[in-house]
Amino acid sequence: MSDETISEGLKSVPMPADLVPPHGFADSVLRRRARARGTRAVVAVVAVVAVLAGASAAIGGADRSAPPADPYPSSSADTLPDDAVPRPGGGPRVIEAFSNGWMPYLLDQRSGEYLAVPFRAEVSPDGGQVAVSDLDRGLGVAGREAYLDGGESAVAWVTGPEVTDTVGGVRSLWSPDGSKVFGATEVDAGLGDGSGRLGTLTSYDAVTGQLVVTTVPADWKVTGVVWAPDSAGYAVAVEREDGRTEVRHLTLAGVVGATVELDGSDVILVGYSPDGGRLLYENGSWNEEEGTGERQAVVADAATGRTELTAGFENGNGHGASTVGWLDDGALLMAVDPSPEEHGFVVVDAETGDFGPSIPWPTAENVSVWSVGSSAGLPPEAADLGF
Amino acid sequence: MKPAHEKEFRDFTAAQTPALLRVAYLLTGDVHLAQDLVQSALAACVKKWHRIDEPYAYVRKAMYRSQYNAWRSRARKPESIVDAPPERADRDHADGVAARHDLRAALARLPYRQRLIVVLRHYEDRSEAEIARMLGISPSGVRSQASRGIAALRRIHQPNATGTEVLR
Repeated sequence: MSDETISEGLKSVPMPADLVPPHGFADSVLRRRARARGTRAVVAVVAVVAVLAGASAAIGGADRSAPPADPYPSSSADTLPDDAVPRPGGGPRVIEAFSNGWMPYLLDQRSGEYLAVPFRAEVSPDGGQVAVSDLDRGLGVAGREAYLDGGESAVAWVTGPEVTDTVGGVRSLWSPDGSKVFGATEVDAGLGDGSGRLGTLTSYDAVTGQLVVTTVPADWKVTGVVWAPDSAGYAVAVEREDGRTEVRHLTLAGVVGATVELDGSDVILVGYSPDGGRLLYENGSWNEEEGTGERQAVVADAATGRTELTAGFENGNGHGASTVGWLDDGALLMAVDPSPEEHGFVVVDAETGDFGPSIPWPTAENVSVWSVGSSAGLPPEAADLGF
Repeated sequence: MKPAHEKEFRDFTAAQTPALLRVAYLLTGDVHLAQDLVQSALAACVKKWHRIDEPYAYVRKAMYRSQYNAWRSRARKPESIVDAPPERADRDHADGVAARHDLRAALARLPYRQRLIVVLRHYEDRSEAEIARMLGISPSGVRSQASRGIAALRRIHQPNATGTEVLR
């Protein structure tokens, strides 16, 4: 029997007739979770002490050892197969970090290969470090090559698991000047239904090791957070009661600064251009189930919020698209699905809104891109990974 | 859990549980253990549900890690990674023949870790790097275990001269 025969055989193994979800399966899962929560309340005090102790150690920069938990490898030497990586054909930029929904990958600039890594990683602006985020561990930083070589053993975890990049629409961990990373913490919204809201933002200074926790006003309905262009604070997208969205600037000390109103509804904040002069966001509506609606990318003056450019998602057959971010001051990157089976990205001119040709992602599956960087320095045989 | 997230969780559970159960059954070889494995993995994800970007992948990983950790902690009995499959006590019992006439029964006879890696590699089509990352072992270890697992499956589960598949 060949490997293929076994693979096909496993996929067609007949299953027992009673292998079905028991009646009320979701209910029983939720009840089981509720019972576990009741048990855990008994040991909550101990847990709080442990978290505070961990935070103190991290602030002092002394003990940043990784918490013991699920097994993770110290390194991951395997790569994506060559034939899984379409070659866009060369160009000044390259996708540096992405996830295919199952596994995160990071480009090894030395070899020009995408290596599987333990945690999704965002590359620092200078390309030398990575910030990682994991629901079970929190935020961490590592040297890029050390992370590629050593995996989790190279990561200094700088927060507990309560701080991650998956609360409140956090975008881009690294500050524009490359000095800091940030994550967010959720707190109970106080509505009695178990729902949460963005409670604090935590920045970590990769140079000094200092952690700064900034409290977000409790009455802010936050839909997104990015670094402010000066790296000295945050730009927080807040949905007002009238449904409009405005960006409120918040210093690390928690002082509220300028406010800029954005156009349209259902706004997703993407980020500032590298020169800080323009702000990119999405607005419009989109029905995921029906694949209908009209969404667009909007480039606005950062100081006034005045719309300078809108770029409708030219997704060919009505399939999804989304804005990934700025490539440079003159270009945006968008994800597009030319068809249900095709996934890729396009470069969009930030002055004209013109779309470039669709380029497939590095794998056949749909991906989430975490970092795009320069293709300079790639070995000659990998230069055509650039676009 | 916020009502919107609970709805999302319920929708996910309704849509994905059958596929999750199939994987769990290949791993455990038992309907009730499979149901419990899926339920445990889902329960572990409930609290952080709204923060999970890709729930299908996350729940599967939780399931694999849970199973792997359970196996690792069992009785510290040395796991025999053998080239030849273990003998079955009921090998010649006629009433066991029907149950043994399928690949799943052969799979169930593999050592725990080989079984897990074979399922990940050949049922889920995951790469060696992905499996290594998930289980915390080296890619070469994955390659070795997968190779031994497949070799053992071939020995246990061989088509005979008439084309009927039998277990050895």
